[in-house]
Amino acid sequence: MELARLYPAWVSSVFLSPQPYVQTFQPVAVLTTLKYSLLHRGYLSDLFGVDYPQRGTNRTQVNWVLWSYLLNQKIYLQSFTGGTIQSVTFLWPSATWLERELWEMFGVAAADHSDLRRLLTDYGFNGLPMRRDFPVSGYVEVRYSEKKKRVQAKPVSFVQEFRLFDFKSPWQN
Amino acid sequence: MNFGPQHPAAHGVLRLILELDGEVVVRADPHVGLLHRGTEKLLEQKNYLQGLPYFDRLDYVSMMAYEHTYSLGVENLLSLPVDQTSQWVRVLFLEVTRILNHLMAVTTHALDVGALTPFLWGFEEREKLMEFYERVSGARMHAAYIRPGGVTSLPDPTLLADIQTFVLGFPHRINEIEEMLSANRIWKQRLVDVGVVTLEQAKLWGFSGPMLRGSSWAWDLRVAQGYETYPEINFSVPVGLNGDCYDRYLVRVEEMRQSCLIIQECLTRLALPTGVTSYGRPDSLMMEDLIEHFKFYTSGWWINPGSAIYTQTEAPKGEFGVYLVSDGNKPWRCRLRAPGFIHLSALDSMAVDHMIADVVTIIGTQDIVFGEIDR
Repeated sequence: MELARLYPAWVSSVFLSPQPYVQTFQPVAVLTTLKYSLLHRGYLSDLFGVDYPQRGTNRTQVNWVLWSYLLNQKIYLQSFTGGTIQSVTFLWPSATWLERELWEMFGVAAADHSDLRRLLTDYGFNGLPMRRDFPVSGYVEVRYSEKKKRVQAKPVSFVQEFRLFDFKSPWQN
Repeated sequence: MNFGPQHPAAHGVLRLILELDGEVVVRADPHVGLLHRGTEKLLEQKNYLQGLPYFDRLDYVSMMAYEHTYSLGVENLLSLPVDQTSQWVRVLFLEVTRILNHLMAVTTHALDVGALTPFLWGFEEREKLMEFYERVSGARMHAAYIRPGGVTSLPDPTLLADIQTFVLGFPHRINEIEEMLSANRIWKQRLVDVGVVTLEQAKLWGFSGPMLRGSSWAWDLRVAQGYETYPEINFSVPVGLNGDCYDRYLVRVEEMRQSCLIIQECLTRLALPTGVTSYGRPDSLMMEDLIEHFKFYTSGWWINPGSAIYTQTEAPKGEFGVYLVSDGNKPWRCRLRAPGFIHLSALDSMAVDHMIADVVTIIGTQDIVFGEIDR
């Protein structure tokens, strides 16, 4: 709210429900705002992405969650991006792994990040698993090959497809 | 040097690449993800009720605390009120969970450092607590007990009486563990001034829970945010002074004592339960009612697509956050903010310039559980 008053040009919208302090920003301005939050004793609690494929190129919504210990308030910043964000590791080292995760899961790279490697997925993993169009079962499965005496990746094969059981019913709710 | 992934002191599957200069750590690079199951992805496929058991399996030593955060999130999205009795039962079991977790944290930490006995004592107590879990939910660990709207079923009076007996005896068990450790020369040599985190560092690294309180910052979401019936309960938040491993050990021990007080308070407030909770049988056995109940139970709640909420609570390990974006009857995105993930990312900074044996102490004090870190 206060941010919207101070930097009206950067705030594209402010949501008040169901939770206050959710704001959507143009990506450029986020860093300045984050610095501003630092002045207000804000500490980075969480940084994550949400994928919206229907939005085209700027499909990933990046969320910064900041705690102000002094005001006992949470500040939410949101920004849509397609490619890169500015890294905040120099403000908060806690962002190091969060940005690594963002990069491997959504393909949103953090500029000026010193150590942008994969984190949670397997060594040599391909794809962006948290994007909505990535199938739950993935594309490859690993198993031990007795012949080659090592673990190898093969395309997944299922006897039965993954089913959602989301049928039409006479008791539509 | 490769530390893990199957090292007993790594608390699970942590592969830690250590660069050493003699016995001094130059760089510690944790390779996590060996237990990655894609919980966030799986949650997008299930409706809100079906997603709940995944939360037990996140941090498998503090199960109900994680269920609870998720339940709070769903309740907030649905604007669903929870009755008083259920809230007291929730707080009761949240604190049982906190004791479960801290017993694990303290005693396995002691085991890593070389003291076997507290581990044996602590796990006997843990077994009793898991029996309470079993009696209330049917499962020793993965309870799926705290659900959106309340709890599965209210505990019966005999269970409450047994918890009362446990809570009366438990402070003595803590005393025994403390007698063994707190003034112990070896224990202090291994912990005091090891892994020191200043308050400024702790905040920059985003620490929470005992890790932050060990660095003398009294920040506890139970007090700061006051969810459930915590505002009505009188308890204190212990803090450490030096931010070393020993202080964090003392904070955890004191938190167990405080949990005992909270449980006592809950037991006195829980007048013998009479009401029904939201997960009872359908109200009548008419066919149409049964159909409606079945439909409701299987397809889950409907939440307007796009509505989102971020919920954080004080899990035993620190702040656990759940960000939910709805997509009808299942989440579009469910982000899990695991405290251990944030703590482990600071392992490098904490372990540098320490001896290799101290790395074990630091991993122990961080109270690492890979279920939540790898998700």
